[in-house]
Amino acid sequence: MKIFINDIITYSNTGSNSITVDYLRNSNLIENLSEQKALQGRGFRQIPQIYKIFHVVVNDLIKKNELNKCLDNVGLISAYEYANLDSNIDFEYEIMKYGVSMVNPIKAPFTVCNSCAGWLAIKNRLQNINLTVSSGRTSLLSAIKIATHYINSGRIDYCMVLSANLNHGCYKIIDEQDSFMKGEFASAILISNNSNINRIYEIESVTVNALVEDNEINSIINSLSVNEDTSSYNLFDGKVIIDKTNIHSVDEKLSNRYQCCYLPVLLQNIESNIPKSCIHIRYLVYDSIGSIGSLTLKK
Amino acid sequence: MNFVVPNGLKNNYKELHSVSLISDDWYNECDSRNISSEKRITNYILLGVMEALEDAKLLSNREILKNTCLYIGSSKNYLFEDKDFINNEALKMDMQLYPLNILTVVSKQLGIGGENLLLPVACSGGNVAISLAEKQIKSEATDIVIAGGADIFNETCYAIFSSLGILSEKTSSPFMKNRDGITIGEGAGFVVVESLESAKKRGVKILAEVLGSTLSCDAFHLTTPNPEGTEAANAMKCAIESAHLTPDGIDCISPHATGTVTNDLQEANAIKAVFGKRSSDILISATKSSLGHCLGAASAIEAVLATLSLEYGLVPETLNMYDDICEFEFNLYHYPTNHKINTILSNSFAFGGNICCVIFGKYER
Repeated sequence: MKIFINDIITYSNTGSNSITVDYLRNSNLIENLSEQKALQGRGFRQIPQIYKIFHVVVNDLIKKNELNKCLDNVGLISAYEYANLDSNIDFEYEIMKYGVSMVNPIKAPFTVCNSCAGWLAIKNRLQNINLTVSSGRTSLLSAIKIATHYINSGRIDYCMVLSANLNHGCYKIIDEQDSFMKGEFASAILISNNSNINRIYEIESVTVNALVEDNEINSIINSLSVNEDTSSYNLFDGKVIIDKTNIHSVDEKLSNRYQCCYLPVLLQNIESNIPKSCIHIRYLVYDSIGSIGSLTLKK
Repeated sequence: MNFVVPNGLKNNYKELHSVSLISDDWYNECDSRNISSEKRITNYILLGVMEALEDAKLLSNREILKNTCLYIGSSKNYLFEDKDFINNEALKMDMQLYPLNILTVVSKQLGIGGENLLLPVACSGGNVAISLAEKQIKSEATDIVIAGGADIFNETCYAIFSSLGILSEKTSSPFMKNRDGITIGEGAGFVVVESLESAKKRGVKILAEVLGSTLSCDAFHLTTPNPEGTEAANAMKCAIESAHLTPDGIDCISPHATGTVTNDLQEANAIKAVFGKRSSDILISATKSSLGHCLGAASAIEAVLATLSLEYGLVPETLNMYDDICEFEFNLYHYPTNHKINTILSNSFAFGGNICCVIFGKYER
């Protein structure tokens, strides 16, 4: 069964960095969100920021692709890296301040990563696959892989794969270590087996592996045979410097900024750089914690 | 499928040590309750995975392990007990990365080179890991997946459930009329899910079969399940269909049965909707009454128990029902009973309305 990427929606808080603004010319701006429009009704004050941003992104995706006609067949998978850190720390503050028996119960569910996907399901009446993956920078590829499994099995026809990266206090540390650029980003990718709606890419393969041996990255890169293969355009997201003609080694600062949701940014913006002769786009992501993933798309 | 029982095979620790990189002191620590939560969770996962691999005759097989995946379900609440992290940005960073580091430690120590996946779906984590393992193997992406869950009980965990008012003042008594909440436990459970061809080729004992599974969401409330149990019933039906069975083909249910008022009501209504009149006859074994609710590990441990039940024809007891009556007229035993069972439906529900049902069957040789 052929699986397609049908739509990509991104929201970004661009900050004041001019490079970032240029790079994200196709993204919507978080600053432009109308809070009244996006978050109607009471009870939103305690909701974490990531939930609110995802709510807007999911709403956009549903409206744009008219998914409200078939919500029973829509799955939702979110890919996180640090996104629920603030909720956890906030809850710890509560414990320290009021004691274990007197914490605010409203904040309790937000300490669980999957609550965000659950909350979005409640808001949008999505009663099908609902899952959260948190495995470092390869999380998004794992989420796409799971989505393809469930579409192939016939359980769902569409799957929204979400990823986000928000500002946290702890990023000061990375900032010092890795020249990290502050910013916030949320994206949604619509995956389906429906060839009648907008098709951007066909997903050819997704793989994610642990790095058991240190030399595995080089062996994967070498196996790509990129110099001879002019029909492929390769994107490498990681800290390894690659000197091959048709590998686009992505900007390390930007890559660090977007963490696991860098892929949607690339896909939205890389199109103009790709030579017309290239049919396949191969995205490689390397996580220093110990995994490597690859996604091959067909234009 | 091969399994590991938490805290089982203790006598073999020294033997396992010969193929691992861990010191003797580390093993001694595993039995100690006075160690920090971050160390405990690592110990649970590493020991659980090692024992599962040992049981499946994979521990020393580095070639096969290179293509083996590791899926762990958890609530991901391994907050540091050292509260200094509140004012220490570097520690906050470590805290968030810690669960991922555990995966890295385990995969590097044991040479597990396939996909490493952390599934922070809380109470249904174990079942979700097994369900994804089934999908991964059916898609022929890999032959072997180590799937399970691990979780620990700490101050934060207590605060979460205490604030929601669902901790039992006595002990958890699932489906009873006077049930008042959950009792929290901790632990880990892991199963080795393998394709039939691969298991036959390796000549290992097959303990049970994963017949089918489904994943769903009731989209009702973040912490309260829909008391009508509509979506839970749909999920059970869908899992039964995926196993090419009918409700009559299910011999036993391993329910989520936490002992809270709303959760048990939801599940009971769902069971009645799926099984109709049979719901008062079908065997039900609510093991959280004896083990406590081990959160992300709960359904993984229940998967291990389901496998043992199929193997030995013994249904585990439901405790704490002496002074009470079952509200839903279910067939519960307060002592282990012998029955010939071929299929078990394992339910799990989690915060956010996540539902995962897995069906285990006896492997007919």
